[in-house]
Amino acid sequence: MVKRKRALGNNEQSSAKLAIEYMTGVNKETGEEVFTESDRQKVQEAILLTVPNFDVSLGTVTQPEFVKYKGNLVAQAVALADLGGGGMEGSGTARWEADSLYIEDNLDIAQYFRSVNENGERDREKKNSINKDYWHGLIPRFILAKADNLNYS
Amino acid sequence: MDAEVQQTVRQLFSKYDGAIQGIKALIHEREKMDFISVKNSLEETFKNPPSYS
Repeated sequence: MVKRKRALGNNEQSSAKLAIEYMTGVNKETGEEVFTESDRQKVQEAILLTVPNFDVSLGTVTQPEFVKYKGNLVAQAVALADLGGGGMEGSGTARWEADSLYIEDNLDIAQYFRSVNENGERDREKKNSINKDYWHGLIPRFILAKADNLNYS
Repeated sequence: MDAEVQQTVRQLFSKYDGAIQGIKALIHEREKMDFISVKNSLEETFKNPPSYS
């Protein structure tokens, strides 16, 4: 499978920049201060707080900037929602997040699914790789590791 | 982890137990599946996106 290579922080920096540009653009177009400087700062911080760190010692993903934005409740709420959906919403959301990450990390999965539909199970090596990858998937490991770190399991 | 922080996180993540059991069951279920069944199971997930409370 073609695996996504994650450049930590780049996505979030780009997203924050786009959001700021959008809000600034709306202010210019309307000639009014629809979004204040404070609004822009909150949005920027909320996105930047979600920059993840893959913590080898904990075996899970963390948000090292979380404490830095202690005074921004909006940013912390976004950050919790970013990684804590399963914990706050239960197993249905955990499953959806696990499968979403699996699809996101395997860039050619849709193409491969289509080829299987058309040609049957012709590529045993890839098929085995998909099964193996799934249950060694990132999100299940992260969720279980987080549980360990909170003494949940 | 500080005890007070841990208590707060536990309250906030009150559905973690269910999430853990759900993920463990899903892993167990899919370990036994053939490829087509895994594919169908993945597709099934996205037919029912979560409705956040």
